Amino acid sequence: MNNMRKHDSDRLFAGTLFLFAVLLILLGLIMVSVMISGSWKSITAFDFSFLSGQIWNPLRHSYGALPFLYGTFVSSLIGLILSTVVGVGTAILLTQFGHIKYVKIATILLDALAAIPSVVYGLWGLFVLVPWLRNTGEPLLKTELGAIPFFNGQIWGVGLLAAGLILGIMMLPTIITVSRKLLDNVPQDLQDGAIALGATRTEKVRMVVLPYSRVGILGAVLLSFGRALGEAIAVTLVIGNSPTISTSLFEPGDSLASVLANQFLEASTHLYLSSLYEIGLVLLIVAVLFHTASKLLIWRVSGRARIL
Amino acid sequence: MGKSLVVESLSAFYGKQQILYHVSMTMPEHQVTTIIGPSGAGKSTFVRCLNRLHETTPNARMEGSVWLDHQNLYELDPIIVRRKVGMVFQAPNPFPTRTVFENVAAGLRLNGIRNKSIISEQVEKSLQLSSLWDEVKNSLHQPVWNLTRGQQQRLCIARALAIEPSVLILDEPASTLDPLSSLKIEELVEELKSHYTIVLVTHNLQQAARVADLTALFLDGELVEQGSPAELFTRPKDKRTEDYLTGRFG
Amino acid sequence: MREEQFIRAIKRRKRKDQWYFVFLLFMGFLSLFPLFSVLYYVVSKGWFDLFSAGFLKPTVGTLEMVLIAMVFAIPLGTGLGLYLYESRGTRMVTVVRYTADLLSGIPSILIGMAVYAVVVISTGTFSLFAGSVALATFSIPYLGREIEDQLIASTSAIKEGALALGATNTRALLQMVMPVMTRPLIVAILFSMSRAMGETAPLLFTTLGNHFWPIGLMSPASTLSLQIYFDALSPNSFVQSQAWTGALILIAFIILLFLVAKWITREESK
Ligand SMILES: Nc1ncnc2c1ncn2[C@@H]1O[C@H](COP(=O)(O)OP(=O)(O)OP(=O)(O)O)[C@@H](O)[C@H]1O
Ligand SMILES: [Mg+2]
Repeated sequence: MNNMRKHDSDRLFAGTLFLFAVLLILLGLIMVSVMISGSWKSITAFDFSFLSGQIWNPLRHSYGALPFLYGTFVSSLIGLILSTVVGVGTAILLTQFGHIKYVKIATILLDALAAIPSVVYGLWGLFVLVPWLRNTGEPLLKTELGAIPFFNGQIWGVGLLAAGLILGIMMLPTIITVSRKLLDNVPQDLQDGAIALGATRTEKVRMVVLPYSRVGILGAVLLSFGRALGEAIAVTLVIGNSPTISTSLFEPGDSLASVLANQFLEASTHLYLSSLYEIGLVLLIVAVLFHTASKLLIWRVSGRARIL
Repeated sequence: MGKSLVVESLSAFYGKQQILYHVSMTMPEHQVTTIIGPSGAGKSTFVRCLNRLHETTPNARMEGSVWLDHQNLYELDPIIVRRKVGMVFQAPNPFPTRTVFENVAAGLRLNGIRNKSIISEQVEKSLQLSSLWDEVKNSLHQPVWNLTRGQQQRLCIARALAIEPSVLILDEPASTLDPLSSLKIEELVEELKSHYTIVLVTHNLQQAARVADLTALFLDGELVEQGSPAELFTRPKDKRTEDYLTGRFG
Repeated sequence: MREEQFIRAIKRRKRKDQWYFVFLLFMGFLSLFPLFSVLYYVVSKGWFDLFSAGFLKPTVGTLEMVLIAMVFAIPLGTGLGLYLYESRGTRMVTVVRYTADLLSGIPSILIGMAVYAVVVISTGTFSLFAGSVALATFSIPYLGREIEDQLIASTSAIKEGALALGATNTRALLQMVMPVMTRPLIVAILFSMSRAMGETAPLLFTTLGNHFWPIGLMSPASTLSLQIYFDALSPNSFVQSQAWTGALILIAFIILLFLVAKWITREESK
């Protein structure tokens, strides 16, 4: 009898907890269904030409999302390249070359870097980074590397490069944190094996540390790339908000998340609004793909341990 | 190639904690010196001082000197020391992302040798020496995880031998292997001693007695007794040695 | 291997090692430079207006909104965390955990759109409440995952002890585990508050922002993050400069939350 009651209370408890799980799944389903039902009109009207259309001009009822896809990927790719080099470099510095005292200070500072809100990065980007790019950075790139089409064009300050730089800064904390954990997990006896052969620190990193952790680092990079793709506020402040596709990284552009931030409340027709929902749907799909790919990679290297 | 290794008053520390206390001993050329002692006695710490691996641990420090061929190893560049003193670890630790061939060649490439024929010659020779050649000669360019653990450990021996050290340190090389692989390693040690000065750390007293020319017993960071195995195992001079051998210690 | 050739190679290798180290130091510098630059500008440009009354309204709006979001997020997130921990190993839990990670990680502007479609449309008004719902939407899965991790990390031993003493599963969990969890729980809540505080994108379509005192839950409200965003977009340079003050106040709050979290974990480690 007594036993029965104990058993029942456990069942009740488990049942209650299950409700919370159902609620969460429900939230996810609402998310997906809002995006799909919102974009239905646009999907039926444009088919796949929505994704390949190069002109976005609501006044003329022309809705092509390609400029936003282009701006999103290019700016995030710039961010990815910069933050991978700088971030993995920093992680190597902290785990393989660091003295404990400095490592502790650096950890606190990197936590702070992660805690700064995106709107503040956007503000800094608009009033500090963009003027610097306009007056110093981009002219310098143009004279030095002008032969490459990416660095040859009219200089505005705002544009794809500015957005890429801001995204790179915002991606750094994730890449550094995850890479550090992965590098710290490289077995000491593998590293000793390299040192015992006479490897310098650099050679040890190249022979053992990076090969051992590269899959996980790729996961970290993909994860932060997926997050960068969806950053709206910081990007919209510095990207220039112009739905164009240009080779020059100095030119203004626009991104999926940024056009949503700018136009969602201004959409004056049903089709306009629906097109924006479809942009949201595309963003959702892209984000889910990158999130899943990165989780699989990180999961593969770290087993069930959660690194993030 | 081999030269005797002379240790003078070696003390080692991790932070403030002292691990080794004034150890002095000689490991003669072309002989096998086995080091025995209970877990935590400082055997690994001791051998890691011989190739200057100890100092790569954060906060680790040592005092005293180690001599090889009339040179104080602590006055040389650590990279040179590690070329002269090779090391094999407790668990096989081949470079996981490299092939069999590239594992053995790793040390040669580090040392700036680019000539392909010299490298493959040296790789074959080292694999012959570690009696692995016949087993892997057809899979030289396969990943190392296809090898058994025993083979991997002999690969690590080949990797250490490829850069032609004078001294070879083996820190419990067979303790994570099956008995057959363990026996193979033991035979290998016997064969190799004609070329090298060998230092073998082991938990296995029978093994220590079988292969050793000289045995040293460590207890709590001190070198308690050293001598030929025949003497040390049958007529120990120190009371603590006797306690340890009869199982009353550790 | 000729000896002098070997020694020359070592010299070259060591020089390479040194250069590599210098390169990595530079990378480390590049990582921290933005932080210092941002803090420098926020403080030096923001402190003039700090004590003018202009930021009282958005500050109150931010605090109100985050607190209301936490009213939803704390119980729901805790429930979710307990579920994830208790049902470990089932297939359902893998799906739930994946959804949680996804919801806390998808572009937050999408959450703003969804809450607009569901809450703003059905209530007929932009509101502080809708903003809180948006903030709660990513705080719930975040807290749930945090709590699951903390449970796994710190208490399975305790729980097993309690079960061995004959307590039921439920009692073991509630009586033994939850008290130990208080501190990690508070820290997780503080972190999710600091994230919610800085979010702008999910509020754009839900709270809208305005220049009035928040009249009630069901009316548009101003928050620090929205204020910074709109001020930055303003063509008026005086208004632009106010954005820095907003940023200073926002960062001050986030640092405060950080310090509290640090203080709590400091106590714990004693
Ligand atoms: N990295 C380290 N930091 C601090 N202390 C250490 C470290 N490595 C080893 N020690 C300590 O040094 C002492 C000697 O360790 P050592 O590994 O040399 O023992 P051992 O004789 O090789 O033991 P075993 O037979 O288990 O390998 C032990 O008390 C150990 O706890
Ligand atoms: Mg040992």
